[in-house]
Amino acid sequence: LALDDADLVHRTLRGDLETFGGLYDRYARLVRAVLWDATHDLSQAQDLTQEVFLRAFQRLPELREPAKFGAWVVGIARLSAKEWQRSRVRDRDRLESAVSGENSRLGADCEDDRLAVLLDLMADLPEMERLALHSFYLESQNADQAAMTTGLSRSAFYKLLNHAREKLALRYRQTQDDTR
Amino acid sequence: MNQAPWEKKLEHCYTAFDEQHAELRADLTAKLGAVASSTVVGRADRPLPRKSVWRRSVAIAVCVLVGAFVLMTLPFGGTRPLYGLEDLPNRLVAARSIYVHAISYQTGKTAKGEETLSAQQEWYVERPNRYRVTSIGWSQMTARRLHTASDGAHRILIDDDAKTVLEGNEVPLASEYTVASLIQGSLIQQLLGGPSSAGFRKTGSEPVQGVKCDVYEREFRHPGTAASDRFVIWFNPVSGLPLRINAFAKTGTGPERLAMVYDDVRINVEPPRGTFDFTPPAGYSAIHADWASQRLGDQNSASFSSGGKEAFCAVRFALNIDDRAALICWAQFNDFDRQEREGDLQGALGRRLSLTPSSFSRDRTYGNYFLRVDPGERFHWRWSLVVPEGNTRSMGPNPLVFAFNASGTPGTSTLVFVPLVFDRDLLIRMIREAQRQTLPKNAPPGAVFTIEQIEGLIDRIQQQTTGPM
Repeated sequence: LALDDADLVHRTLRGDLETFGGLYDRYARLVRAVLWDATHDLSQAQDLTQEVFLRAFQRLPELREPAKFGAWVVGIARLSAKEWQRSRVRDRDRLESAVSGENSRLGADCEDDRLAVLLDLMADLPEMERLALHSFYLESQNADQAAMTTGLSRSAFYKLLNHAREKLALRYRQTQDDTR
Repeated sequence: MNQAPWEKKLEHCYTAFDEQHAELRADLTAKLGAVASSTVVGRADRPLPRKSVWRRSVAIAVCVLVGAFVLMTLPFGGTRPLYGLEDLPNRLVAARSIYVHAISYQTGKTAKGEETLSAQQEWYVERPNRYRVTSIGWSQMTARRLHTASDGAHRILIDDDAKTVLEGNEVPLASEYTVASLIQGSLIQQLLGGPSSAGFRKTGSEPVQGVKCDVYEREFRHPGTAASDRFVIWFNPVSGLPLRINAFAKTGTGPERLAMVYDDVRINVEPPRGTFDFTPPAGYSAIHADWASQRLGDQNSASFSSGGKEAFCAVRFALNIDDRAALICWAQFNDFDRQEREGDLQGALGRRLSLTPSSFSRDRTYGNYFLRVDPGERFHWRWSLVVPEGNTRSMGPNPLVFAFNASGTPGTSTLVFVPLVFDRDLLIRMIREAQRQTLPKNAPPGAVFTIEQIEGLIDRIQQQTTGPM
């Protein structure tokens, strides 16, 4: 029987560190997706994901609602993504001469075909719509769970998801037409 | 479910985020072991690291300058606040839930000679209205264990000794009042051996379970007796919570003995499994309880008793009114002087009463102003407003103390009480329900004071005593 998030959090807090791996298994892919949205660099997203989970681990006793670990860790990931973007902008200004031309499009890394397609499909979507798609498709298409992870009500989540899906379907048709 | 082509494509794209998952997971869990020894995670709270140094070496090699800058700007590398023992009451009062585990010890003679026996106690309290308390009463070296639990709708009392279960519907607002009372008063009293950290001195630092703790100690000698209590607290300055508390007691001329060890104090946690399972244990007889016949409010009282005569002072409700005043319901009864069994019962609304509280440290004074007396069978419940005096309009730190005498008996007794803080909606309901508990059944509807009337009276009293501010 799979333990729920609250059980995993409690066991971790009681010193069973292996159970934190269960939370990692559950949410690391989603966190990587959120961070990839910001970095467009899978390696960077993987690094930041590790940092996010270490940060979550350190702050676990502060988590007020263990059942909402998913929403909490996604919140940390979004904060980390913003911090990373801010630091990159500052770095770019400061280190422009040192890295000129190297990363003119912040870390765009599309060596992986899958990520290239994802970037193409989602580039124009607002952050929350991307998050809704990530949550839904990376959490076994469980809408209730995904709604909780995004911190939205069920109805608000469905509305957002449907909007994003419509845009994605349209974008996909356009890319298909372009390739013909 | 049929998937659109774009959905299949999308799912395929998402597999990119599975890359190296197993390796990364192993990498993370290996880090956790190292980090745990310096973090608050674990059964015991532990200090947090000052800096996170987690960066993959490849990323650093590719962009050392950027990497270093990112590390410098990440907020989790910042200095964390350290707590002192004086912060413990605030840490508990601000908590959503509190879990405490303790072991109670009793030393005495048994059939095997002198023995020290132990029994486990637990408290779980969760705002707004859930609690479970396991209490131990020692009698002839036998621990009697009682479990009381309420989820706001049902209340259950399990007696392990008698193997009985009393269960029934909860009294409206009773669980809310009990939860507030536990969080804002009783648990602090339990863990500190008193209402505040006053009197504790820091004696050094010691590691407990790998965590560097500040050690605090306080000894309290009971006036006029050889009895004393001593509390030693190993306090985690990073989490702001005790990691271990040893409470020692000395009675008479006997040696000091370990009376209680608190070995697990956590906040903002979910209840242990089964905490609110109201199914009677197998083999226990279930009895329906009419909790409504029991009174709502505290059972807080202090008394003198001699020669079949009794004098007592009790506080049944104490509600903090926006930190400007406390609405209290109390009783004073004196069986020693039949000329004035209670006294101070009659008079005009807002008149000043003779029994006035002070702060626990005795550095603040308050006025006690008459609202109403609700007659009872043996004594009367009195409603009054406690308003701070002097150059402040704030109630100040908890708790408050009534010091009272009983005519015909020597000395003064004190009654300590905490005016409980509720959010305004709950406060309004609490004020109404509490008054209904003490008013006669035939009282007219207008007899219940509303919060607006109470606040108007506080304004009036403050204008009279300190003038407009």
